[in-house]
Amino acid sequence: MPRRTISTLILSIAVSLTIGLSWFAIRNFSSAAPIAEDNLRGLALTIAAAMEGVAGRDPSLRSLASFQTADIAYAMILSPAGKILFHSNPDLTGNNVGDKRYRSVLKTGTLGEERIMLGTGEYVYEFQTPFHLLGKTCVLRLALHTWRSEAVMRRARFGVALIFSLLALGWGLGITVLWLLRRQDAQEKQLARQNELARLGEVGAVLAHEVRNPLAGIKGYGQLLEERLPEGRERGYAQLIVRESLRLEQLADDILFYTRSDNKLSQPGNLLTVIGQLMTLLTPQLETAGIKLVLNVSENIKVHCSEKELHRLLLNLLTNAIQALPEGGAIGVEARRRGTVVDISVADNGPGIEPEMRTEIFEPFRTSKARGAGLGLAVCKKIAERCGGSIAADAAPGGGALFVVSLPVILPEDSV
Amino acid sequence: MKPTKAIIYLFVALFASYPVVAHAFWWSGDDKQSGLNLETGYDINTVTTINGRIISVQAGDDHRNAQLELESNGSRVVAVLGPQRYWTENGIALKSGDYVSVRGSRAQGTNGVVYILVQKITDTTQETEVSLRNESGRPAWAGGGMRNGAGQMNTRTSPMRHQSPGRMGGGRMGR
Repeated sequence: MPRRTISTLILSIAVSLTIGLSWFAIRNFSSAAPIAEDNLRGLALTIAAAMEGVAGRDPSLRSLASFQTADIAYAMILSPAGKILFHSNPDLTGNNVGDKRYRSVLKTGTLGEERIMLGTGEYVYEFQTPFHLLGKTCVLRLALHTWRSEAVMRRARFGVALIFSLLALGWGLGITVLWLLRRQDAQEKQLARQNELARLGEVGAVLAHEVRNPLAGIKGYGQLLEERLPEGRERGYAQLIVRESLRLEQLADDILFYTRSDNKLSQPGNLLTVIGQLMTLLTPQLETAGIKLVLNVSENIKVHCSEKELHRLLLNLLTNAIQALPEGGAIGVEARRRGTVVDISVADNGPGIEPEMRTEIFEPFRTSKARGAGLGLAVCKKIAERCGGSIAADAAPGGGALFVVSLPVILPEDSV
Repeated sequence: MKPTKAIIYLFVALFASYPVVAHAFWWSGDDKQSGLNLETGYDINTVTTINGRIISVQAGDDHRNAQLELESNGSRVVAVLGPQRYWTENGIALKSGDYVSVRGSRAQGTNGVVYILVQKITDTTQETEVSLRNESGRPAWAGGGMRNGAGQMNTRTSPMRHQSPGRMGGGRMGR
């Protein structure tokens, strides 16, 4: 199974789990408040029934003075006229109650309940119910502490906090593991690249000493044969020897260049001069292939890159573009100043480059072509970076591939 | 950064921000923890007298009231004596183990602790007594003397009904 699919699957499971647990926690929390309210109502009804029983046995209400539970903040029995017949603070018994809220209970004969804040700052549950005393309907007003009954809410709140904390912890760990895996992956890739370059360096050394010299001989003799042989099949073979020798020589040059030291290049180069040289070199090939070259380089820009390196860089890019247009097309070359850098773009209207390949193609030996070692663009990148610039691949506006090389421009003060 | 270090830092950060539900310590006079108005709050409806033994005395400081931790009938109650400066100047000498009779307004904080906002405290062991509030609950340290019925109003909070000290069920006492 592809790695991306596995990642998507794991992420989907994690998201689903998070949504599920969050839903459970929120649902649990939202159902806690009605449960707490029911608890308080049940407690108030129980106390009211018990008090009515005590009052029934002792209508003088003296026995109620000993009726105490930890949940009662205060209790009072009010006559229909508003006189306090009993109060848990005995000093208040016999006074008149200062409000008329009890009247609605008397009038409707139903329960009344609400939350009130006492003078102490405590929020209590106030419960009022009709209270039958000596054949009269009075009102029992109870204020209950909510702390015990609201234990369910505290548990629910704690549950929500715990679930969300565990989720945060889980996500944190997951992200850390992912980050570590990615870092390990990147380190492995870096190591592999270093090993690749080390091997390439060895190959470069072999090429320099063991291949280039005999190759020069083969090419020389091939050229000699090409000159001396009469027109015919044998001369064609000689031309083939020379062409393939040149290709091998180019490959050896590329490998040697790529494996050379990374010293910065800062010699000046004239962009217009290099483009002129390239035009002369490539015009026959472009005409043969039926490719139209559109140049838009008017300004004579000098860059911090030697003409030799610049030539090599642009030649590689143009060769690439020509190879991408086997049935003809158009290549556009444009240079545009952007502050202290110049962006040189080479665009074609060929098949283009897949988005995921746009960074990989600058790695050595990455190629989609049947012929070629995949070093051309790696060499381009190396030159651009050695000149203090960069190179990037993108999609051309009208389709096809677009390469943009950004190089530092030589400013007037640099040349003083 | 090494992976092990990164994981340790992550754990520390997560646990530091862990939203633990605040379970109040038993001994706590902090208004933030109790949710009560411990300094000037009072409600005559909840006035009661409790007798108990002092477990500990806390003198308080600029931010916390002087308090007593009492044991009464097997349960624990915090008696709030008022601002530390006032208690130091006007209070009586109390020590752990003394038996006291405390009259005041009883309240339960959001931390579950039962407080009594003391109106009068009598040390039955040393036979000393001090009144810290008037009958309607106005504290002596609030200034203007302890005139009877001078209960302090608190702000009404919506949608909760608010009952001010010195009132019964929202109306002034008809004494």
